[in-house]
Amino acid sequence: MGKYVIRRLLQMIPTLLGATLLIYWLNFSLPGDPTAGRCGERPCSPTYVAWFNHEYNLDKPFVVQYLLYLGKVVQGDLGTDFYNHSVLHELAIRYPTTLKLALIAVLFEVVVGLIAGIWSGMRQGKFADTFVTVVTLLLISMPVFVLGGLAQLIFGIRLKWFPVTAGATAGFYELLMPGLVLGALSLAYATRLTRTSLVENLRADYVRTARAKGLSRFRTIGIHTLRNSLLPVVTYVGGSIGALMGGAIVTERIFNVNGVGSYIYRSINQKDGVGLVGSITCLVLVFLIVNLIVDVLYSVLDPRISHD
Amino acid sequence: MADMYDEGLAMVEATGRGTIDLEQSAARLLKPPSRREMAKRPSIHGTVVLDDHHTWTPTDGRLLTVDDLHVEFRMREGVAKAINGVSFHLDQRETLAILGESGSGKSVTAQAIMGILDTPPGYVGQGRVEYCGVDLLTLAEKSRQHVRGDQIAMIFQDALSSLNPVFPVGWQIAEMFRVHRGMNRSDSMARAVELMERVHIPAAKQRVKSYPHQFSGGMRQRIMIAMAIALDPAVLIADEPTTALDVTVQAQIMDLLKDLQAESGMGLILITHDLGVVADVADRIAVMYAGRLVETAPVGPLYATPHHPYTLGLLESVPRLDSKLGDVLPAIGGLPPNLLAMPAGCPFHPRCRYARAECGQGAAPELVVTEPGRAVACPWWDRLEANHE
Repeated sequence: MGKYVIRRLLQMIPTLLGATLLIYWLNFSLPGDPTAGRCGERPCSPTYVAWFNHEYNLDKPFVVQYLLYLGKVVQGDLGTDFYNHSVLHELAIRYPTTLKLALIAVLFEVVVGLIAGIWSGMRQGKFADTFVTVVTLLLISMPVFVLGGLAQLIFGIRLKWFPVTAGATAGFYELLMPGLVLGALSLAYATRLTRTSLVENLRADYVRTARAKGLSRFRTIGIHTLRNSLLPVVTYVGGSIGALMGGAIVTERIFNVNGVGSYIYRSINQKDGVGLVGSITCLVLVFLIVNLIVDVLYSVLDPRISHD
Repeated sequence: MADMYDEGLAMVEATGRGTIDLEQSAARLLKPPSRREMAKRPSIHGTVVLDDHHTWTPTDGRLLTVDDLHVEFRMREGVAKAINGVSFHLDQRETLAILGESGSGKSVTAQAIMGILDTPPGYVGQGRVEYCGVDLLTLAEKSRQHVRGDQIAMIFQDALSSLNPVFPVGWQIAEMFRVHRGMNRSDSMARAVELMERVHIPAAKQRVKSYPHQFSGGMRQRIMIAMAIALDPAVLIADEPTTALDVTVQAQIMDLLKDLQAESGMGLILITHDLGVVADVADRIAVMYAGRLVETAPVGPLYATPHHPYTLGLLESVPRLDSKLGDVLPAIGGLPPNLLAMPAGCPFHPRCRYARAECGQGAAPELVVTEPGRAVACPWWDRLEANHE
């Protein structure tokens, strides 16, 4: 197992390098002028444009730009963005907020998703099952910006349960509604997956054995069926963290959350390669680590899978 | 014999029962019973709660009496009558083999006795399953759980899928002691090792923490058996215990079951379609067809002189070492009846080469005692016997 983890950690290096190259190149290929709009209503002076392009290496060919950037990264410096702020510092401010947001979303997804999925699976074909199916279908078919807007309107403006937007310094309470909206889609899928998996496993031979052993219904489902049913759900939840990261860009914009998502949005808008690559690569790193944890967890949950 | 056979065939053709059956089943498929009609059908729900320390003692060595058991599956397509009035009994130290094709209701009978039918769609419509004088069907679920595994245990066909893949085998055996006896973890694990040794698993102590997929098929079936006999049940139901195994391992498993039975004196219900397995171990045989018993008899007489045409067909379809090269292996033609639309009269008559016109009319024939210890559900059994001799 230790060997496996080390191998996976080493594999992350080329993955991360590849990610930086790809994002840098994508950003380089974007049309548009980063200095447009920097000097108010009128165009920037040629001296400023020349200084700006030189300062941020924009006058150099792509490969040189990229290598210069990489050289800094290797020294632990993620560079400075177009506002002349250290990217590392900007991320350090914003990461806690986004992590809090993601944590709320994942908790929501896992806790509510599992409970609803199990409830629905145990009452297959009954009202509870139909109810959960309809609600999840609704969540799946609704785009996040519609869901976010609706949540703001109903819970923020009408009912006044939550603040409509999160603002600069957001705590758990302010982030609760954005987190729930962010987790809603993954929640719907996790619920359905749990339900299907449970229903499938309830028909399994070993569940019949468990009943023949004289075990209670609680033990039959809670211990013998659930452990097997949760295997695909664990895989899905691990993968969904990536989707949450992507979703955070939209959700943070809707609720005006000052997190990594907003920073990425701003960087894309301004064609700010250094800011963009640094922030996205950090997301990729989180995603890789979560996936490693899921894979390790998987071999613990399912003894048939071995990493040795 | 040839005359009788031709006569039977002629009858089948003359009455054209095949067409009638098709029409009947088509009509039933077109108009399946409504949900309300389904819910109205009678079924048994037990409510009697027994004392936790109830002692089970068989009277005159009689462990189990199944009387007029009916099981049906209520589905959208209609009601499939899987078991239609099955009655038999089992004594201490006795091995009863239930023999039949796939879909004849052998496994469903076992599941109804255990109380592990999938409900819905499976329901016990009527009947009694008496264990040591108590009708299990009247017991509340809580009380039945105490009987299951403790008094009546069961092993299944495919031990790989029947054991939980994510728990160590020792844990799964020990669970019996933990749940039924309230034993702690280490004591129950020690007992699990003892049991694994008792079913001859080599290096039991080292393997107690292994998972089912790390064992061979035969070893897995031994673990199933160890789990089933953990609490010294009085009745063991083995549902095709050797079907998934290769022949040499089959013999080992049957020997093991025989030895365990000799040690503990438990009654064994052996469900199988393998006539070879039955001949060696069973005391009595009950042949099932389309959810009914068609013949019950001690092993020797049944093999020597089958009374029911279906039993005869089964025996004939066993490959024999003394058959000539190039001989075609006899088989019972046709398919088992559709449980949703059972033919009128004897359920076997469409496939029976001795069938007469009367066979396709009225109710299915009842089991009739032909000689002490034997019964057959065919009014023309004596003709078959005369013909057979």
